[in-house]
Amino acid sequence: MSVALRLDSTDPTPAYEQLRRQIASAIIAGMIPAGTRLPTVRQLAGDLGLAPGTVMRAYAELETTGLIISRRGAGTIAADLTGSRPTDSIFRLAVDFVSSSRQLGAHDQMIRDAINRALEEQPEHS
Amino acid sequence: MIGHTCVNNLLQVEVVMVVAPWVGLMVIALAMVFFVTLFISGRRRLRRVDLNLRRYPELARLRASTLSSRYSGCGAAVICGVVVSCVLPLGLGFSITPAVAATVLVIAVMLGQRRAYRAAQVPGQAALERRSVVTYLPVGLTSLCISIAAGLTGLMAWTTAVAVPDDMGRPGRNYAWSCTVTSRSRVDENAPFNEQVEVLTGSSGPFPGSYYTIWIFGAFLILAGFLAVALILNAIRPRNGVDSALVMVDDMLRRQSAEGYIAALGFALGGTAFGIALSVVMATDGNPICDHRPLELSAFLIGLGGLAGAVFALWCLILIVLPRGNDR
Repeated sequence: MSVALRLDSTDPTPAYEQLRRQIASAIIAGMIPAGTRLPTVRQLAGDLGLAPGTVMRAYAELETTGLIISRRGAGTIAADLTGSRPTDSIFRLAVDFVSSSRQLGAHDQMIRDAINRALEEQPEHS
Repeated sequence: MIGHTCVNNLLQVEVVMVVAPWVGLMVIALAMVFFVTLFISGRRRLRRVDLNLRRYPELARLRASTLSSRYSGCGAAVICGVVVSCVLPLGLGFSITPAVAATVLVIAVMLGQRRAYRAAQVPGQAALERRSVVTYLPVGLTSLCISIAAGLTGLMAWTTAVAVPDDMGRPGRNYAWSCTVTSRSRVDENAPFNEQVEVLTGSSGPFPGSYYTIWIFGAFLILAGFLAVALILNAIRPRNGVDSALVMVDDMLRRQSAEGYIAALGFALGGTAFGIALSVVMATDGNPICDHRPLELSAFLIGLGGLAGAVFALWCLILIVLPRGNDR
């Protein structure tokens, strides 16, 4: 199953961040099985009409958060998240959320308030 | 000067035809096989073409560009083949003509594709899919090419190893033979027989030794380089993988191109195998003095292999002239 990637040219969020977010969501949601080989930087950049550096940056950030693994000669594969603790997955989602919020210009207090509000709106036993 | 050399080279071919009339008959038979197969297969293959390209005018442009470059590439390949045959003397040009023609064809198709390279692209939209060269390779044809390449490498290694210099001292251009001949003679009817053992040696050519195989190897190395680039570009050509209908048509076009590239390689391999086998048979055959049964048998088998190579080259030519439809 291939995941659709759509970049919004009217969105002020940089292209690499839009790309990173969509790939990260797909991996965390399990839409990309562990071990799946991702397209090469050159191929994906060509498909999306982006500079290779943009895709490379998105891949680098995904690798930093442990969602993908790049090996020289073997390409880039989706990481196996099944063995990871629930807190690891939540942390990855939090990193994703914080990163997206920063793109919108939010500061730390605004981000904390947003999380608290979301928790109040969706209580634990709802 | 070039014209003079060309005439000389063509005269050599004529001499070959006169010396061995069966070679001429074989060429005529192969040409007949080619045209009959082209007719039968062409009708079958053309019936398969059922592309919904109206919805994707850019892909239709890519297909038209690829096909036109394929046919113009065939023309350019013929011209380059003739020029190479004329410029390089002593059959050297003929030996690399199949590889040179295939290289020209591959370059032509690659350039034709570049003209509409972004036909399937929608900027900002893509599928997270990995496309590799292997995805689009025709399995059967590629396997046959690998087998013939292995056989050809073995044959070339053998001819390179056994070849000797010719009478002008050019290395790897002749085949040396030697045998012992026992003659019996006597002075008169009552005298006993006097046996005389004589070792006869000689060489015949042209034989595809290092004089030719180094050039053939170089030509195939260049062909392999261009082929690799062409196949990689064919696989990574951008597309909007989100549109499944476009993906179907686009995949078919990629398979069609990959088949064309591999068919060009097949033509080069088959044509070269035929040329080498023919030279081996002609250089080792027709020695009235020595009776070398194992060598004759080997030459016969090599000749059969060369004939199979010629048939394969013709089949590849048909694949180039008539691209596949959407049969897969």
